[in-house]
Formats: sequence, structure tokens, C-alpha cells
Amino acid sequence: MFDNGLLWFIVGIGATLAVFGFNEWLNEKQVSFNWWQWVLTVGWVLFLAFTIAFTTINLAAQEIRAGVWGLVILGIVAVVWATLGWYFVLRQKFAKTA
Amino acid sequence: MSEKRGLSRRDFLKIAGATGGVASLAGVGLAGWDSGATGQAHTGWQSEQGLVMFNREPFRVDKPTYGLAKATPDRLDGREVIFNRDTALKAQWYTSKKGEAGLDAWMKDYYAKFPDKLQLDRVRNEKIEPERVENQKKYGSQYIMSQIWSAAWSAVSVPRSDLPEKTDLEGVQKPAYKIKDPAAMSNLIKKVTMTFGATMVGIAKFNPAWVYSHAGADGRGYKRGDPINIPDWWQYAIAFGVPHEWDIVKSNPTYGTSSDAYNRSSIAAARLVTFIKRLGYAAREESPNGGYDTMVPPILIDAGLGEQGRFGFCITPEAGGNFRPAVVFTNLPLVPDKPINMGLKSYCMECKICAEQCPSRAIPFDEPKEIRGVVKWTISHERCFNYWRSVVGSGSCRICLALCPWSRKDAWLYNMTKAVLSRDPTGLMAKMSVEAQKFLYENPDPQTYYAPTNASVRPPEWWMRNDPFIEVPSAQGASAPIWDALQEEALLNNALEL
Repeated sequence: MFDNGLLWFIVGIGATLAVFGFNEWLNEKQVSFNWWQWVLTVGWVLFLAFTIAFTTINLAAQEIRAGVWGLVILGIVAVVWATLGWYFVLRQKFAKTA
Repeated sequence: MSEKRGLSRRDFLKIAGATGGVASLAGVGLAGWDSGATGQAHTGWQSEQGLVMFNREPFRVDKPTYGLAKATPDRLDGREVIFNRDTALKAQWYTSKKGEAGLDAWMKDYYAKFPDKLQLDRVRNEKIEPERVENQKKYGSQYIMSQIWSAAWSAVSVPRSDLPEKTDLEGVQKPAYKIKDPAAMSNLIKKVTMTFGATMVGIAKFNPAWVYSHAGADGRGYKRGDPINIPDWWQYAIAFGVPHEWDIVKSNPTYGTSSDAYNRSSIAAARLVTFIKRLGYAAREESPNGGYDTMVPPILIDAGLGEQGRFGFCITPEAGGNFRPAVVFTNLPLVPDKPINMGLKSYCMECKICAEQCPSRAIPFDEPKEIRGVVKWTISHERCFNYWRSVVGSGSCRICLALCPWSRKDAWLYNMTKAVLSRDPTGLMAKMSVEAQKFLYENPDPQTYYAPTNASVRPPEWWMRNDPFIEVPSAQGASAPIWDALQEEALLNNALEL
């Protein structure tokens, strides 16, 4: 039902808007990322997407334990990733431009 | 004094971006849900159109990953096959009421060589099967709907073959069409076999070592014990597989059946035989409904469909062990495929989930061993069959293929995992995968598969249950002893320890 071209077309539009919106927000804050900061950020978004997909695929396949534990474990990794990235990299960057 | 303005371009882009990001992540989640729940993921039927999800070409090797201890392995005597042996034992020992004295010379000789097998065969006939009859009365009613579904799959069948010189040549077009290019013909055969219902197809050069030396039972033109002569038109083996309905396989053993994939693969084989005969070439099906005179897994492996797994099946990258095969022997000019090495053997060396989960402890934990000149994993067929005959509901079992990590649904997450595992030469991914499989995925306590618990690998889907569709007598009684393989062995002075 959802796994069709129309869904991915919508996801593509959403992702494009997200990139533009994020870039606009960075411009507003007068923050620019270097290459590895972009890698970390894009990697985190992809990891978050994988976490969601891992959970929903397993739940749909009735692998409830895998879905729940996957969400917990991957979710913790995603939160830690975001926290460390913010604390050690982005916080100082944003503080300088505040 | 500033004038109040509407939404700025920047604010609009920020809001649209945040909305788009959330929508995209939700879309990924929905696509994931669909990937796990869609009917396509259940069965893999989409490959009937030739859309095979796993590209085998990078994994082709010159020799299969099972070992050969001698150039020409010994042929298996069909009378050894446990289904055939059990039929003979029932007739000779029990129906005739003569006991051991009723056994024919071959049976006496066989059991003299393998007294442990006689013990297990007797336990099955004298204890396990009578107990199952009682358990079935107490607990069997809840499996009626799944059993009706299973029976329906046997409603359409194919006739059993006769002797090769009769069946294989019957209806062959004369004169035969000349084949322009065997490679092109091989592609055509694979394509049409998929349209007939197969999900994966491979071609092997015919190997006589895999054909039974003697017929295991009366039928197909043979009498039990007749030598099987190999005709010269068995030159190639077209091997293919059809997956089981996913819901039913995951609710093994009690709700399970093999009838669905047995039937589909048998009918696909019959169609393929007709296709080849209309081209003017001999063809013989070796299929669940048409009958077997051969071991099938090594042919599948030779044809590059997969590798042998710990529980003895050919494990394929598409469906793991969750499929039923058929083979067609022919002299149609074809080009054989090479076998594949997708790292399964090393994965099975690590994994052992099937062995740990097998309630009959029929699956070995150790390395492959030599049998008839082939180095491979072999299960204890007696233990396996003894458990089958104890199962309330289906009277059979497919727990190993349901719980094999390679038997997952056709969803991108699982396919991606298998693709990565196949390409990791270090074995590190296999180790990580095995740990994840054991931690993340539910593996029930094997003891719970026995009566009265009668657990299934996963709870049955709504369409396998009686309620709310039919009224059946309620289960009688609440307790029955759990059949304990260990206790059985102790009673028999460990005679069952193979």
C-alpha cells in the first residue's frame, strides 16, 4: 500500500524541503558546517531513518521483540549520537554566533 | 515603528523543512511497515516474473561447498529413507503381528547394522504415535482450520510418474525441435519455470550419485528394492524452489503444513515437463506429488541455488530454507550453472539456532561429517520423525526452517542483511548477526512445543484460527505429560544416543 512510487516521491519532496529548511536555519544562525560536520549530521539523519525502518519492518513482520529492542537500542545510540554531537561540536559553534 | 509582516520567506522555508523532515521520516517508517507486512514479502511470488532479488553471479564457484571424500559418492538406498522404512516396518512388524520375525532380509540386515535406529523406530510406533492419538483427542481441535487449509492444497495434484522408460518419453514431440543455442535455451527454461510458479531456478549437470540405488517403496513402476537404472537421457537437472506461505511456516509445528509449497512445486514441475516434451525432449519430474527417486538437496546445491545448511536443507539467499524444491531431469541441451558460495557454511558453523531450537535434538551441533563419500551435515532422521509423530495438529514439524535466520521475509532489511553477510570474508558480520539473532528475535523454549503446551514458533494468524469462523468441540482435559526426549533416552539406557 505504502511501498510505491508515490510514497517515495512524497518522501523525496519532504527530504528536499528538510534540506532547504535546515540550510535556511543555519544561515539564520550564521553557522556553516565543514565536510565532516555534514557527514556526522547526514549520518545521524540516515541512522534515525534506519532506526524507524528497522522498528516498523520488524513490527510488521510480527517480530515484536526485535522491533521493540531495536527501537530501544538504536534509539539510545541515536540520542547519544545527537547529544555528543551537539555538546562537543555544534554547541560551541552556535554559541560563537549567538 | 515596525509594520507587522506576514510569514517571511525564511520562516516559511524553516517550517516547510521541519514538516518535510517529519513527513519523510514518517514515510520511511510507512515504507518499512509495508515492506514487512505486504503480501509480496510473505512469499516472494513477484519473482514469477523473473525478478530474482539475489544476484548469484558474484558468488559462483567451481566446486560446491559440501566436501567430497571420494570422487563418486555411494548412492543412497531408497529403503533407508525413514518414510519408506517406517512404512515397511509398520507392514512387516505390526500389521503382520509377527514382530521381528516378520522383517524381510533387508530390514533385518539394516537393523542389525543400526540397532539404535530400530529402538527409535519402535519408540515411535509403540509409544509416540499412540500417545499422539490421545493428545490429538484432547488438544487437536484448535488446529482444525489450519488442517482444512492444508487439505485444500492437496485437492489439485499431478499423477505420480511411472518407470523412466515409460513416463519420461510419453508425449514427446517428434521430431524434436533443433536447439539453436543451449545458453539461450537455459535462460528460456528459467524464465518459463518462474512463470509456472517457481521463485528460483538453476541448472545442474546430472549426477548419478544423487539417485537412489534401489526403490524405497512400491510405486512409480518399481517394487520396493528394485534397482534403479539410470537412463541415458538424464543429462541435466533443472532444480527450482517454491516458498511456503509465510504465515503458516511461522506458526509451526502445530499449525504448519508442507502441502502449499509441495503442491505448487509439483505442479510447476509437471508444467515444465510438458514444456520440454513439446520441444521434443525427454523429461522426468522428481517432485513431492510426482514422487522422488533421488536426493534433492545436492542437486539444488550443484545448480547454484544455495548451500547446505546445518539442518540438512539447501539454504537459498532468497527464502533460506523456507521453500520446497522439485527437479526435472532431461536431455534438452542446456548450460549448467556453477554452484555458489555465499558464506552460509561459515554462518551455520557460528549460528546453531536450529540445533538449539530443535525439540527432538535431531540437528547436529558439530561440524559436517562424511556420509557415503560426501562431507555434510546430516540430521538424525529418526529423532526428527519421532518428534513429527508426536505433534498435535499437523503431525509434522518445520521449526528449523521457520527459525533459520536466512528464512526471513522478503523485506529490504532482511535482504540487505543477507547481502552484507554474503560479502563479508572476515566472518565478523556473521558473528554479530548470530548474536543479534539470538538476542533480538524470539526463540521459544523447545520443551513448550510438546503437548499440552503445543506452542508454535509464532502465534497463528487470524485466518488459521477456528474462532470466529466455525464451532468446534472444546478441548477436553487440561494436562498431559510433556514428552521428554531426555527421559526417553534414559529409559532406553541411552540407546538413542547416536
